[in-house]
Amino acid sequence: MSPHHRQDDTAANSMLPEPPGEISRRAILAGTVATTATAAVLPIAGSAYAEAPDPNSPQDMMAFLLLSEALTGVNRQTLAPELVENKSEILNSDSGIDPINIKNAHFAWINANDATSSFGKLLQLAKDNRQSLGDIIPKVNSSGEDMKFLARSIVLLWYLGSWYKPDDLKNKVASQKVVSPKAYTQGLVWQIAGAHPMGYSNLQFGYWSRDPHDPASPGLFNPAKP
Amino acid sequence: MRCSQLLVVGLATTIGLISLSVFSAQSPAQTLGATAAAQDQAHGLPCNGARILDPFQGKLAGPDLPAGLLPIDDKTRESILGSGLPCQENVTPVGQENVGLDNLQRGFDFYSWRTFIALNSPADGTPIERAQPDMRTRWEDMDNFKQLLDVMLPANLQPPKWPTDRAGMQAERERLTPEECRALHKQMPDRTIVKMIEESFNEPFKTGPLIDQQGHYAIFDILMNRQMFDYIMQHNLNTKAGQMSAANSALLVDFPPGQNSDTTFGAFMLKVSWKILTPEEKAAKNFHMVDALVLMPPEDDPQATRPCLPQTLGLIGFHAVHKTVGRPQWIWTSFEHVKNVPDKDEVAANKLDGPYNFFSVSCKADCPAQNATPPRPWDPDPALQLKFRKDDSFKSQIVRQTPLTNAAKNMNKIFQSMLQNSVWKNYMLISTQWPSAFACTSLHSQNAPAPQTDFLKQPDMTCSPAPTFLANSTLETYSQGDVPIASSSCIACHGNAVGFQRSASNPQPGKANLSQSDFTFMLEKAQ
Repeated sequence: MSPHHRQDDTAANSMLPEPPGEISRRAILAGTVATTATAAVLPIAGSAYAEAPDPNSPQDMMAFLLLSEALTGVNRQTLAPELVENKSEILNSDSGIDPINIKNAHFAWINANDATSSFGKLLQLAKDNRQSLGDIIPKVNSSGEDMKFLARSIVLLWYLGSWYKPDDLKNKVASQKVVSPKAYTQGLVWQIAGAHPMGYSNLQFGYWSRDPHDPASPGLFNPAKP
Repeated sequence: MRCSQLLVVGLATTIGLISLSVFSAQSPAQTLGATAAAQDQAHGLPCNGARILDPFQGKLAGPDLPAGLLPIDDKTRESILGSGLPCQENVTPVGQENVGLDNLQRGFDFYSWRTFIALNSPADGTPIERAQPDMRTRWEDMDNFKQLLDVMLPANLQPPKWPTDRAGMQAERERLTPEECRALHKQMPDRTIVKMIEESFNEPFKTGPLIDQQGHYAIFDILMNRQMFDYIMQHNLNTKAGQMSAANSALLVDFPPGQNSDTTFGAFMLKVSWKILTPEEKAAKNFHMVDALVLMPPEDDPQATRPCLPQTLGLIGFHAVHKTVGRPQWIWTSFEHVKNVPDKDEVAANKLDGPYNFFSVSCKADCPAQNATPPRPWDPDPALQLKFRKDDSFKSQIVRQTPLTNAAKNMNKIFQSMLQNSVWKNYMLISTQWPSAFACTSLHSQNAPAPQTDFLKQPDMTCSPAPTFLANSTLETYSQGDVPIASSSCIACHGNAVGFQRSASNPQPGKANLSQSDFTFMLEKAQ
C-alpha cells in the first residue's frame, strides 16, 4: 500500500496501489504509428453527421478522452486524473476537474484550430466506438485525410504539447508551435521517457543517478534488479 | 415575493440550526480531544483531532455569499473560533460545491483559517475575537515556535536548546541575544529579537527586496515548532557537519506528520513578513504588531558593527506550512494583510481602495513599473538603518497578479465577520496549496491499464498541487503568475529543497520520502 493515500477524504483515484510490472510501450506507440500510416479512404459507418464540438458538453469531453486514449495509447485516467466513470454509459461519466486540466486546454485548442471541421467527426467516431476503442485507429485510418491528419495532430499535441497543423503534416512541412507552457510541461513524452522537459522538473532530487529502466524489469527502483 | 423571501430565510435558518446542532454536538469531543492532546503533548501547541467540517450552508464558489449566511450566530462563531489547531486536514470531495476539487479546496481553506486563528490567538488566553493589535500571539510565544536562526547557529553557539521550563527558555534567549542588541535588550527585555540575514530582506531566488510606501524594507522571518526542532536535533541536522556525517549518509529526512488519530500536531513551519510601522500606523491599530529589536544583516566586512534597531513591526504576510499524514508534500497556507496591494484587475478598472502598504494610488507617471524589482544595490546600508534610499527615490509598486478566487473571498468574508472586534479582521487567506493527485508518486501511470496502456515512469514528487501556483504578494512578490518554474508554487519550489547530505532522495517503492530535505530549505541554513 502506498503511504501517500489520503487519510480523511475519499476522492476518486486517491489511492492507486502499485500494479504489477506489465509494460506495453508497443501499445503506447501504436497510436502514433497508426495515425501516421496511409490507408485507403473509406466511408465511416455512423459518422456521416457530427455536430460542432462543444467544450461544455460532458459527452463531447468524454468522447475526446476516449478518442485520445485510443490515439495515444495512454489510459484515460492518466489524461483526466479526476475522471469518475459511469459504468453503465461511459459517455455519461464525469470527466472531472483537476488543477491542471490539460484535457480542457487541449479540447479548446483543437476546437479553435480545426480548419476542416473534422474534430466533431472524430468525436462522433469515438462515441460510435466507445465499446470497442481498439476499432478507432483502423477507422480513423479508413477515413478522409482531413480526419486522419487532425488525429495525428491530436496525438502530437498530447505527446509534445505542440501543435502541428494537419495541413503541414499532410504536406510534410516542418512547422510547429508550442501551444503553452502548460501544454509543453504536461507533454506525455516526458512521463513515458522517465524524463522531464528542459527547464522544468517535478522529479526527485538525484533521479538522474538511477539507471534507465529496462522495460522488461519489474520496477524502476528494484535493488535486486540485474 | 416577501413571503417567498421569508420562506428562504426560514429554510436557511432551519438548515443553519441543523448544521449548528451537528457542529455543536462535536464540541465536547473537540474539547476532549484538545484536552487529551494537551496531556499527550506536554510541550508545544496541542492540536484537535476531531473531524470538523465547515458548518456554512450554501455554495461559496460563486460570486456572492449565500443569502442569509451572515451573520454567523454566536454559538457557531464561538465553536469555530475556539475549535483549536487542526492536527491535520479534514476534507472531502463530496459537499455543497458542484465540483469535487472545489469541495476539497473549501475544506483546506477552512482548515487554513482554523489554523490561522489558533496560531494567532493571544498567548495570554484572550479570545481572538477580542485580540488587540499588540497582544503577543501563540506562535510568538517562545514555548511554541523558535526562529530558524536560533537553531542553525554558528559553531561557537552550538548546540541550540529548547528547554521546557520558562526559565530555561529565557536563559537560552539571553544566551543567543546578539552582542549588538544586548544594551537595548537590557532596557527593553520583552522585545522580540529579529536577526536579519540576506533572506530576511531579499525574496526567494534573490529576486529582490520589497520596499513599502514609507521607503522601508519589508522584513522576513522563519520559524519552526518543537516537533521540527526535535527531529533536527535527534538527527544532528543542526550543523553542516552533522548533515554530512557518515551516520546520516542513509538518512531519508522525514519530519513527523500531524494526524487526527493520535492527536499529534506534527512538523510545522512559519514564514512571516513584517513592515516597519509609522507612528500613524501604530495609532490606527490595523496591524498585528510587535515591538522588536532588529539586528541588521551582516556586511561584507565581518568587523563592521551591525546596527540593532528598536522598531515596531506590523504583520503583513503569514505562511503556515504543516506536514500531515495525509499530505506528505505538506499543506501550504498563505495569509496577508488586506491592505498590502490591489489586484491587477482592480488597478485596470481603477477600483482602488487605498492606501496600500506596497502600492501608491496617487502616483501616476513617475512611479516605478508595476512589480518592478528595485534598483541595485539591494543590501541595506547601515547608515540608513532600514530605509532603502536616503531620498526615498524608490517605493515598490506591487499588484496582485492572480486575484483571489470567489471561494476564498467568500470564506474570508465569513471569518472576517466573526472577527469584527479583533485586529485579525484585517487579514485574509490568499489560498491553500495542497497535493491533489496521489498516483503521481507511484511508478506506473495506472493500475488498471486498459487497453494495456500502462507505462513506467519516474515518480513526480509534487502530486499536482492545487492551485498550481500560489504567491503571497509580500513573500513571493516577484514570482507571481502562472508560468511553470518562473511562477511561485510552494510545493514545486520546496520539492527541490536539499540540505548538505551527500545522498540523493532515492526511495524504494512504498517509502514516503519525496524530496531530500522533506520540502524545507531550513536545513541548508546549517553552518
